Amino acid sequence: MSQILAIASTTLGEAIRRRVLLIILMVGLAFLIISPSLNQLTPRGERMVLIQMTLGILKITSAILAVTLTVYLLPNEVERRTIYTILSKPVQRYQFLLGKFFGSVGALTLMIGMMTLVLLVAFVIQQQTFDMKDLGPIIRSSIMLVFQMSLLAAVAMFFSTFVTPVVNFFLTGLVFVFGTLLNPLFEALGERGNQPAMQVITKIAHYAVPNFSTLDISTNAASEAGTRIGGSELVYMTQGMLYALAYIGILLILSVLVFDRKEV
Amino acid sequence: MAKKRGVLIGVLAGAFIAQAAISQSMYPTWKRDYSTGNTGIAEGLSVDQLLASMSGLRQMVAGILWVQCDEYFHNGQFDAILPLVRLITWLDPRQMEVYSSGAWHIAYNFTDEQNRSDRRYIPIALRLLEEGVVQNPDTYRLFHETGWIYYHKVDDNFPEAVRWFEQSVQKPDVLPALRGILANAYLKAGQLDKAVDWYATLEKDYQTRFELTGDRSDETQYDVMANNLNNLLIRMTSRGVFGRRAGVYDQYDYDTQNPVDLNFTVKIEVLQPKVVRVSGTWGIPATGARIRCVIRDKGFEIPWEPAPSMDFELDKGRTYMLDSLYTQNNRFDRKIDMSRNPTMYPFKADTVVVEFMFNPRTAPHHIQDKVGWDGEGMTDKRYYVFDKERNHHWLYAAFEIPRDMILRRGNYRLEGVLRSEGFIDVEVREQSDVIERIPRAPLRN
Amino acid sequence: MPTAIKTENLTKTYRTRSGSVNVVDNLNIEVEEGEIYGFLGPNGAGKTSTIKMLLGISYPSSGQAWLLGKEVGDMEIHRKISYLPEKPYYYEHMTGMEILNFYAKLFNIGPAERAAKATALLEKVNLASDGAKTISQYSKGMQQRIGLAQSLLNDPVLLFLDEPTAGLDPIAHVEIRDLILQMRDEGKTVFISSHELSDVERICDRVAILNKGKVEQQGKLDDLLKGGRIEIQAEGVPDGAVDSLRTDGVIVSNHGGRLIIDAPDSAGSDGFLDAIRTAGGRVISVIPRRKRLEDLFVETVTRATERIKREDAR
Repeated sequence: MSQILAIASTTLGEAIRRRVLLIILMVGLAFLIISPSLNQLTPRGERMVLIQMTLGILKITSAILAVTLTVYLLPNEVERRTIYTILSKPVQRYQFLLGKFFGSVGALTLMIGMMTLVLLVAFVIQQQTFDMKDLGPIIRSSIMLVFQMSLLAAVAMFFSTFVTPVVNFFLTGLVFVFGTLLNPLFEALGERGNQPAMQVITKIAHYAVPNFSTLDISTNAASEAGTRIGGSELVYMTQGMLYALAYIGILLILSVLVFDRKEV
Repeated sequence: MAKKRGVLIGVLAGAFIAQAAISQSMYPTWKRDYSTGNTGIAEGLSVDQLLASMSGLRQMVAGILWVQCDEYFHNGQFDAILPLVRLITWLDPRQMEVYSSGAWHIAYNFTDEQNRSDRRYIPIALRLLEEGVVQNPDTYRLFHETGWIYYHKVDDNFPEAVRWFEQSVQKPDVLPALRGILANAYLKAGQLDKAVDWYATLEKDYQTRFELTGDRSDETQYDVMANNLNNLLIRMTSRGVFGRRAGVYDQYDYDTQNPVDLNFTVKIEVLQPKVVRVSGTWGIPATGARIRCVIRDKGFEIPWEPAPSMDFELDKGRTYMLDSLYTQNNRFDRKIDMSRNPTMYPFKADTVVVEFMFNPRTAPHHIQDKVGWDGEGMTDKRYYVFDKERNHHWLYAAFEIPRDMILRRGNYRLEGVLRSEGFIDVEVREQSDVIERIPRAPLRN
Repeated sequence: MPTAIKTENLTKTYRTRSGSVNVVDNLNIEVEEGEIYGFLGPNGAGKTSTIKMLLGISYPSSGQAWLLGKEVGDMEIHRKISYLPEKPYYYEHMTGMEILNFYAKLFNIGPAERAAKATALLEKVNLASDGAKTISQYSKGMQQRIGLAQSLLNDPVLLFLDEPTAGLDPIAHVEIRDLILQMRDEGKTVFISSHELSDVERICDRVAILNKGKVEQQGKLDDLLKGGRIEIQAEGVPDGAVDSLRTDGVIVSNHGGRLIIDAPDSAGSDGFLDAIRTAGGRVISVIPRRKRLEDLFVETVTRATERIKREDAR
C-alpha cells in the first residue's frame, strides 16, 4: 500500500507541475471567469444559463485534462525509463499501475475542485447570492464530474496499456463522446427506434459501454426546477458513484491483466 | 500467478454484472430527471447535432439561435423560424421561453394584411407546447400557456383549456394571480358549479394568505374573488339556473324565457377575387356579441389539438380563414380581403364553405343575460343547433359556394352574390350610436 | 563462491515482419558474488534486454534465470538488488532529496530511516550540498550520481548498472568509477553493461562479450587478456648479435642504433636480457604490454560477424 501511495503522490506532484495541464487549467479558469459576460448572448439571461454554461466549460476542460493527463502516464514512464527503476524495486506491476491511476485521479480531483471553487466564487459575485439552493446543485454536479473524469481516466489508463498515446487519445475521446450520448442514443434508437439491428446494438452498448451520460447530473442543476429533486438526487448520486467505482474497477483489473504481461 | 489471474477474472465478471445492473436501475431516473433532449432524436438528428448535446454550450448556442429567431419574427421571415425553433428546443429543452414565446408567435403572429392570424399553425403551436410540457413537467408555466392558447386563440375547445389550467394551478410555483382564469374557463366550458367552487377556493386561499402575510394585494385579491363569486351567483340566479334546478323555472319571469329568435340572415358578396363582404342581420340588438365567420376549403377543418408530429410541415395548399363579425344594431357587415395573402388563402378546392357560428358561452355578460350561458334563451328557425349531450345551444349556418365565385370567374365574372333564405336588405350605418330596430320576420308558430 | 546471477539458455525472441529475431540467444552466464562483472557488446547486442529479463521487467521467451539463488520474478529478491538504467530521467520536478525519499518509500523504509539514508547517500555520491536542488538543475554527472544513490538505498547485494558512465565528462567518469570500486570493496556484486571498454578494463573482474544475442567470449579478464607482449629496448648491441635474437614470433627492429625487441609474453624476458648483456649491449627498458580489452573486443566482434556472414552465405 505504501508503494501505491508513494507512486500516487509523486504522480500527483508531477501532474500539478506539468505545464500543458497548467495551461489547460488556466484556459478553463479564464473561461469560467468570462462566461458571465457570454450570458448576454442569450435572452434567457438567467442564472440557469450561467450555471449550465460554466458547468459545460468545466466538463470540457476536465475531460481534456483527464485525457491528456492519463494518456501519457505510462508512456512517459517508459520513455524516461523511470519505470525500470521503479519495477526493479519491490513494486508489483499492479501497484505501479494503481499508484499512477490514483495519482492522476487525485490531480483531477484537485483541478476540478479548484475550478469549481472559482466557478462558485464567480457565481456568488455575479449573482449576489449565497443560497445553497443555487450553490448545492453546482457542487453536486462537480462531485459527479470527479467520478465521470475518474472513469474517463480509467478508460485512458486501460488503453494506454496497449496502444500509443495518439491512438489512445482518439480512442478515449471516442468512448467519452459515445458514453456521453449513450442514454440519449439508447432512448432514441433502442427504445423508440424501429430498426431491429440498431435496437440490439444500442441495447448491448447500453449494458457494456461506460455510461457517462448517467453520471452527468448537470442538466438538473441548470433546470429551473433544479432543486426539485433534493432527497432522491442523493440516492441517484450514490448509485452513480457505485456505478463509476464498479466500472473503474473493471477497467483497472483489465489494465492490470494486460499490463502484467506487457513488455515495457 | 495463474490462480491470481483467475480470481481477478472472477472479480471482473462480478463487477461487470454489477455495473450493468446499477446503470440499468439508474436509467429510469435519468430519463425522468436528467435527460437533456429526448424530443425528436428518433426523428433523425445529424451527428453534429448529437455532438452538440454533449457540449455544455448548448444553451448558449440555443440562445444565439433564439436571438436570430426574434429577428426573423420581426422581419416576417416566418419560414426560417420553425426549423430554428425545432433546433433550439432540441438544444435546450428546458428553455421555456422558446416554447411559450415560440408557440405564441406561431399561433398569433403569422397574420394576413388585415391582422387575421393563420389558424393553420395552431396545431403546430399546440404541439410545440405539448413537447415543452413533457420536458418541463414540474412548473406551471407551459401548462398555463397551453391552456391560454386553447382559451383565447382556439376559443372553441374549452374543455381542453380547463384541462390545462387545472394542471397549471396544481403546480407549486404557479403565480397566484394566474389561477383566476380557470374559473372563466369553467364558465366557457359550461361548468358553472366548478367555477363557483373554484372562486370559493380562491377566496378562501387569499383570505388565508392575507391572514398569514398581511399583504394588501392578497386582501385586494380576496375582495376580487368574493366579488366574482357574488356576481356569478347573482347571474346564475337571474338567468334561472337555480330556478331550473329547483324545477320552478317556468313559474318565474326570467330574462332567458321566451327564447329570442335570432332570425339570422346573411348576404355573401364577392366584391373582387378573394375579397368577400359578409353582411346580415340577427335578432340581438345589443352591441358587442361576435359571430365567428370561417371561410375554408370544403373538407378542410382544423382539429383543435396538437399536430401529430413536430416537423412543422404545413400544407400550404389549404385555405382556412377565421374572423369575428362584430355586431350592433341587429346587424353585421364586414369586408374580408384575402386577395393579398395568396399563401394563406390559395383557394384550391373546388368548393368553398362559408360558416357562421355564435356560441353563447363566449358571449359578453349582457348578451348572456338574455340568451343564457348555454343558449337556452335563443333560437333560430333556420340555423339553430342543440347539442343535447352538452346542453349547448348554438347558432350555426354554413353555405357552400363554388371556387369560381370566390375568384369571380366563369359564371360569376359579373356578379358573385349569395343571399341566405329570408335575407333582409337593410342599410348599414357606420359609426352610429342610434339603436334602430329592423323589420322582423314573423316568429315560428 | 555462491552465484549471484545464473542464466540457463535464456532467450528472448521478438517477432518482426520478416519472421522472428533472437535478441538474446541461449544465454548462459554465471556471475559470482562479490565480483564486478562486465557485460559487453556493441549496441543492439542484447545487453539491456538481458538485464530487463533478469529484473523481471520483461519476460524470457525460453530459458531460465536465477538471481541470488532464486528464480527471477520473485519480489523478495527485489529487496536485495537494484538497477541503474541507461540515461534515466528522473522526475524533474523533484529535488535530489525527494527522489531518494520517493524510492526509499518503495522499499517501505520508515520516515526516520529514510531521512538518514538519504542524507548519507547524498554525502556518499558527493551531492550533499545539492540535495535541495531539483533534478532539472542537475548536470548529467549529478543525475547519474543521484541515480547511483537511489540504487544504493536498499543496500543491495547485487547491482545492475546499464552504461553507468555513458556520456559523462572525464571527471564524472572517474567519480562514478570510484564509486563502483567502492561498492566492490563493500562486498557487493556489480553487473555492468557497457561499451566503455577502458572503464570496464579498469574495474571488472570478469567479462562476457555479447554479439547478436550470443555470448562470444567470457571469462576472467586476466585470462582473456593473456597473451600480451614484452617490449625490450636496448642500445649498443652489435649487429652480429641481433640476428640471434630473431626467433619465432619475435620482431626486432633497429631505430638508429636503438634496438626494439617485441616478443610474445610466453617467450619470457630473461633470455633476451642475457643475450643483450652477453653481446655487450645495454638494456634501456623492459615493458610488459598486456593485450588491451579493446583489441579483444574488436577481434571478438569482428570474428563473430564474419562467422555469421559465412553462415548466412551458406
